[in-house]
Amino acid sequence: MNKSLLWVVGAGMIGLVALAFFWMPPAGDFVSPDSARIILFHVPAAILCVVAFLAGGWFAWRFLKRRDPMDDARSAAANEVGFLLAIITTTTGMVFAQQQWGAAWSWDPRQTSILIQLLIYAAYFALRGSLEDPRQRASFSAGYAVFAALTVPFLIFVLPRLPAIANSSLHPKDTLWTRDGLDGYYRAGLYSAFVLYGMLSFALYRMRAQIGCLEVSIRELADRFNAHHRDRVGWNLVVSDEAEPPAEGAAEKSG
Amino acid sequence: MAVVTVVALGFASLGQNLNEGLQAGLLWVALLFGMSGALARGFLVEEETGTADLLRVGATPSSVYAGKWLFHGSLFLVLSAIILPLHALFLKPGSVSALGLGLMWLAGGLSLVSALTFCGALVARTAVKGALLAALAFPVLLPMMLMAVSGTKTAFEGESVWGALQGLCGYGLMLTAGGPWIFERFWRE
Repeated sequence: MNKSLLWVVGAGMIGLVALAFFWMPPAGDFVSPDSARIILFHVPAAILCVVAFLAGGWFAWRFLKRRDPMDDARSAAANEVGFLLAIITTTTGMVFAQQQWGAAWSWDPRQTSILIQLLIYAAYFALRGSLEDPRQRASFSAGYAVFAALTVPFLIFVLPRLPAIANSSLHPKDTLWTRDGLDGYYRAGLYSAFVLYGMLSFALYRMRAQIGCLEVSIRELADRFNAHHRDRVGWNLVVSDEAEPPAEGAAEKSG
Repeated sequence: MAVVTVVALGFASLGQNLNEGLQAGLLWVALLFGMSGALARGFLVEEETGTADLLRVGATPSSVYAGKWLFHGSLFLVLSAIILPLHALFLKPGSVSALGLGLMWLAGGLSLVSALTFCGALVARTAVKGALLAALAFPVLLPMMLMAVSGTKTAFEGESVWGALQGLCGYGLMLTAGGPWIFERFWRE
């Protein structure tokens, strides 16, 4: 299933690039009309990174409730996918900003909020890396992941819309949700991009989560094997202790 | 450290008229400096001296968290009692909205105390405490600092702080409510 999904997503992404550069017309009202095509790569990544981070938070919360290490692996996988999508969002946004607004970085509220989000999740991965004990790593990073997920709606939806901050934003408002925000070409292209990015994110998440779950299974198997092996060593020692006296007796007899 | 910061900045700005944005930023930087010194006295010292295990056995997680939160809160009050008058004395802000400044101080303090308590609890048992604490606390504190500085600047201009206050209260309450719940789940690991 994974392999066929990856083939479909790969072919779809090639189709999306073709759609963006050969089918969609340049946007008339823009300073750099061709740069508007980047919307197909920027907007779906921005929205799906929020979904991935929230999914990561939900799995982390489930881990804290049920203590199933697989949930921790799923949480880490979702956060990794979210982090990757946030990097794509930031990079494509900077390219567009350079073309359209004249500077790659202008501390726009949305730029600032995605940067903070990236830093919060970079800290999450730093925390995971600094704890060696798997149980501690799972618990502490799940705690931080729940907390980080709580900041996501705040940073992405609330902070950039605060009256004191919203007016300084260069981002267009409500483009996606109003009838005349996008023309037919851009709307169709954007919906296709959403579907493809969704499939890509799911495929990546699935692969990463499977690897994580496999790691957990191997660790559990190794722990069980070690415990069993320790028992066997103990039993062997006991047997050898008991077995030795007759051997000595036999030696005496023979002597 | 916070006092030294305010005094040094006051001395450096002698004869100059600092704008409201800079004054607001300096006030929160001084408070943050002072509070960051307290982090070592929170959960870290309990882990290093081995008393954290005693707390795990003898106290509920929520009471441990509440105790540390109150410690950080008290320290914030003491620091504010020293820094706010010094800031007013050295930097001489103009037509300040006292109510606005008070509300920003309260909401900002709530966020700052909750964020530092939570991050301190998280890193106390990790291998690289100092570096990790900075890495964890910085992004958590950044939105709070942005809103606190923006609102305090508005208060120093004598205008309404409502916009920044909404955001800061929301963030502070989220940190304050979410922190103990999450802490309970990992404290006994």
